[in-house]
Amino acid sequence: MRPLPVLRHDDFVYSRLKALAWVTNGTGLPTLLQANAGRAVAHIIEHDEPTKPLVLDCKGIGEVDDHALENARTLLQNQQRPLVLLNAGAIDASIKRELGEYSLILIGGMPVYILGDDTIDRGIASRFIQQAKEIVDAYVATHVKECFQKYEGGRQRMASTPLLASGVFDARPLISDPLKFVWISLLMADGLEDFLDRPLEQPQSADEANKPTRHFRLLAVSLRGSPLAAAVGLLSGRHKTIEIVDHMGPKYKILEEPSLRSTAVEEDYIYVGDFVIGGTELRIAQAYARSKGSRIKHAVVIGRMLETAEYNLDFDITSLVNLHECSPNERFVFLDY
Amino acid sequence: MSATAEKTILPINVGPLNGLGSLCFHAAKTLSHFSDLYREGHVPKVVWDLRNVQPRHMSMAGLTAFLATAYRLRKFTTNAPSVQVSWNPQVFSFWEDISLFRIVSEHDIFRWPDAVTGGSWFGDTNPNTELLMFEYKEHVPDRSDNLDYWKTWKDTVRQKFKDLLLLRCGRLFESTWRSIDFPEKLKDQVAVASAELVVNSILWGGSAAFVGLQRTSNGITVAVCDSGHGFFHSLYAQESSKQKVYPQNNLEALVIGSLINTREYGLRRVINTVIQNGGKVLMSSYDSELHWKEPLWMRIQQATIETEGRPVDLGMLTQTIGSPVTGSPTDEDRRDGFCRLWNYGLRGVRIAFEIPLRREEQFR
Repeated sequence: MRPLPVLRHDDFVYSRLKALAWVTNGTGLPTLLQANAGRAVAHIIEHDEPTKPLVLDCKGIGEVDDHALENARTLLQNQQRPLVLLNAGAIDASIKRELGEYSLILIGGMPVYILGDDTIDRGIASRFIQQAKEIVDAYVATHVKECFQKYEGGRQRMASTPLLASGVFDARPLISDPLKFVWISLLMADGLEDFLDRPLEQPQSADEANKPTRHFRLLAVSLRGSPLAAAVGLLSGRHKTIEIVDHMGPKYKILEEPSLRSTAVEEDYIYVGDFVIGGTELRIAQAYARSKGSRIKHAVVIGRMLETAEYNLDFDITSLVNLHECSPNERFVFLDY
Repeated sequence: MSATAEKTILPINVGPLNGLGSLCFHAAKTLSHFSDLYREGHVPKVVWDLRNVQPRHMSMAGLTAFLATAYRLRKFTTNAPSVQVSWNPQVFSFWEDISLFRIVSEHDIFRWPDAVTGGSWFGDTNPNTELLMFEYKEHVPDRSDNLDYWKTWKDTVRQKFKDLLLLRCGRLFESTWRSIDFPEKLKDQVAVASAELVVNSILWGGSAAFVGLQRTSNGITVAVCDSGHGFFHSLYAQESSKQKVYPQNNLEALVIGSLINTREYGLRRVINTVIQNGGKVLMSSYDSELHWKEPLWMRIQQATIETEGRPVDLGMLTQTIGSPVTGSPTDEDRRDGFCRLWNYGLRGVRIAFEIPLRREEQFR
């Protein structure tokens, strides 16, 4: 079995079904849990700290193939291992059919399914949810921190922005490591889905300018942003036109100038990128969208240095981490200083 | 008794191919005649008569069922049967675009007139339609030999088919300006349902599966057809410990086949999914045809629940289905679901389902 996207807490083992589905079956059917993903679940139950409860977040999974979790059920029963399923409302019928009886608790609107252990109550389940979020956040923060590469010889001017920096965030370690890439892309896809679900939660939103749109294009304008946009697009169960303008930012080096010829785009753009420091790449992308008669409605990135309002853009930025918090000792200052 | 050379010419008119019933109505009697001749030791020279097909009036289910039938018949002819067609470039373009020419040629199912194959018919008449053939040439394992291996085999075949489906038909699931915004859900359901039917064709039918997919502005239609053993025979062959009742005819076999899985896996899940989405399922095997729509499916489900704990009363279930319609079904039949019997049947199983697409305005 290839390495699986699993995070470990002192009290439990955590994973995402959608991440397992991706790793085992590819992104062809990202919202379907198939037999291979079921085997991955069984493998985790059997081999990954089997004395601890297993917490599986089912967010983004809409269907479970017949008998996909049959082995998992047998192993859970044999090993008496508790299983906690989060965000499993969409596959409620499949859980009962595949895994048997469960107890259901509603925590903050989220249905939580508990199998195999009567001692896991609302309090423990709530704690698991909170701790799961914390280990995911810590995982991202740790690996984003590893992306920071200090300049030799002190501060240097950044390639894209007139800032003096003690180093640069390079997303390559996240993109080139399959497991890190899976986690990062999945969380960014969650960010996109959350943005797109906003009208359902806030139908009376007065802010028309930022009202999410049903039809959109994912836009990436950099080498590092491209694979992230592709992955987010594949993982998102929505309409998914992906537009990649290679090397538009942060270092402007367009190789295919004809691709920039103006053709009107009727959808709104959602920008996908790696790190936002000064916001230059975002502004380039914004200008590009305007040139197409469109606009950027939202941005999803791994990390940003400042708060959204400080970039003075007319759209929000969903960011997995705050870069300043990841590397509090690093400094980015204007060249004049 | 050795078969004689192809001396007798047997034209088989397939009709307009505008539905499964139409194919059965036009071709089944002649196919039955072919079987009789073959049993008597003759191998007639078959000529498929496709002159009645009209552009924009062919149904994917009818076309797929025809292909499955022609594939089966080819095993009993010395040479590939020839085809009679009316000269209509629009029809040829459609066949080219849905891969009919390619599948027929690759498997030597029948022989097109040279004038047809010599032309270039790329027309993009309907890029939202596709025909697939899924054949499993290796040994199909038996459930009684090794259950775990058998289950893994089923998963593998399902997976292979899903990969093929996405490779060839992925574009059919893409959302458009005016269609649904959750295409993944539909894609998952169609992939799960059609993979299940394909595995059934291979496993229980012992036959290659032909799959037709069509995406229209109203919905997505999938037809999975084979020319295998059919429901009736495979229900006897399964020897499942879960099976308590056995059919006396093909219609009963269709009913049992729809409901046999009490855990709501397999075909029962397929029907449930389609009905829950507001769609319909058409099942056909030999001389019987069963159209599941929500009212009829609800009635039969209720009848099944009422017999829970007791052996299924097959008589009561067929009574719930109602008498087979004679002639054309009424509007009420079409709305509620119905069954139908033909004088002559077609070998194998044909299952077609249609899931309507929710359009954007329905979200508001």
